[in-house]
Amino acid sequence: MVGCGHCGKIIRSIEKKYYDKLKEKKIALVGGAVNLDDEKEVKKIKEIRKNSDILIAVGSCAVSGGFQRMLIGLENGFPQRFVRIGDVVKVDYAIIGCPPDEEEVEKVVEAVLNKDKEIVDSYLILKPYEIIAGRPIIDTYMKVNEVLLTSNKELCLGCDDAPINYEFCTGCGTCVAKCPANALTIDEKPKVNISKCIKCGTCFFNCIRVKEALPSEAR
Amino acid sequence: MKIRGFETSMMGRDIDFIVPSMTRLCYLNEISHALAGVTAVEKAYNITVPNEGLYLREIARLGEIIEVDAIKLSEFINTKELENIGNKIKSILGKKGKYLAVGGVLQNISDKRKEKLLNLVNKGLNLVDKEFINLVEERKKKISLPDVELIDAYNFDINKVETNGYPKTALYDGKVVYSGALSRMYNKGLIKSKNLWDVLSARVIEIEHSLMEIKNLLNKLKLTYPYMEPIIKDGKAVGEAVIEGGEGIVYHRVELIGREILDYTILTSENFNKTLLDSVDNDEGKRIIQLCERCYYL
Ligand code: SF4
Ligand code: SF4
Repeated sequence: MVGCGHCGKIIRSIEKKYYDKLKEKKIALVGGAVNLDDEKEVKKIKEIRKNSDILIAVGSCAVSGGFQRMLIGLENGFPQRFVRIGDVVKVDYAIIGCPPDEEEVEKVVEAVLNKDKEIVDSYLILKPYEIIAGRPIIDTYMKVNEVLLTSNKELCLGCDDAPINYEFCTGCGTCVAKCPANALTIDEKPKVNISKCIKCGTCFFNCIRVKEALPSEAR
Repeated sequence: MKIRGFETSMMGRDIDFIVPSMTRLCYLNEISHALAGVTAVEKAYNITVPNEGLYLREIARLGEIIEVDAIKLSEFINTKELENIGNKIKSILGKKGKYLAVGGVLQNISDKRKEKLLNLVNKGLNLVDKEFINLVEERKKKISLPDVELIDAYNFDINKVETNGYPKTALYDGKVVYSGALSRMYNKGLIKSKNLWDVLSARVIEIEHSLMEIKNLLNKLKLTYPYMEPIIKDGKAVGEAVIEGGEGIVYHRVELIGREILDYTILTSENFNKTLLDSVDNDEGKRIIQLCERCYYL
């Protein structure tokens, strides 16, 4: 799929370690966003889904479209649409982060293999994504300028200039420490430097009060 | 893979977007793409970076080179530990280079981390397997591959580059050329021949050489503040930078108006190496170079 390759590297290392078990339980780990205008890629992700019982999206590109949603793409003069895997096929578990920690991915894989309900349930976060991120933002064959004008808010997971609605924020700073783009500063409450933000969603989903902040239908 | 449009996607953005986006162009060249972008802006506005910042950046760039050399050698020998060492060294700028900024580096390392890194370098030096070079020499005698023309960032003239199509394939001075570890080691006089097989030996030599350079740089670090708030002027400005990254040349050119990016151009080793591989058309050659699609389909 489309990404920087970092999540792919994490996946390869975990697949190597758990090869037999993953194969036996038909668990697939996928990183990167899907280029909706690349037939081969769409076909590939559908095939992965068909051949697996459990599909785990690894990293922000796969989970929410992440950074790739901010790219325009160009093929024969046409822009491309980069969307999260969940826009094309059903995803069972999602691990946010750009990149996520390899240890965290491993923890989820082990939990899924061992059916550790407490851990796996906290990664069943696709429902919130369906509601927050909504339909793919970039429409078919939007002109380059239109894509550029798509506001941060529309591309965002709902955080816009604050990781979470201030009403829920306790000022703990977890989001600031977790942001992989150094885009957050905190005085009393955290603030996003939109020029640096890559829309990875790490801040939002690492907030200690994320569950309360989600719309009730997404909890 | 299809073109992601990194160059076009930068238009209209603030210069603060360069590091977070360029570190996500390609995991292998993540430091060098960000560094080339930041350096291009610094050149455009004559921004001075404190020495401490320059040392940290150089250590990270060399860490990237070690990691990439190790990854590309892993087809032939076990270099997993060296890969991890390179990765840990490049993280001196934070995960995904997050402390790199126009004006320097936003955070220095602690005394303790410096010690740890020095230990890591020593460990790495013990892991370099020079015996592998002899194996390469034997292979070279059995399977014939051509000599290649080399280019490197130290003698690079953008006016000599001729690009074709999109994704770009590139010629230098009208010639098919290779960019990467062999060019660098040849330039430094650490390898004497220019055969495609020598790319493999160059990687081994380069890992050792980079580790030694990193040791020198770490010893130079005073752990002072590595950043100076830059002054960004209002008018239009153009800046360009060419550096050697993990895979080879990384060239970035920015056209700016104040903090806003008007135009962005990227050229990488893979634009040249793709042309080379097309002309050689040999599976062994492909295995040696391992073209990076992400750097090619920007
Ligand atoms: S989520 Fe981030 S680290 Fe992972 S592939 Fe995407 S850009 Fe790379
Ligand atoms: S503020 Fe940081 S953690 Fe939050 S979405 Fe932006 S880049 Fe990701």
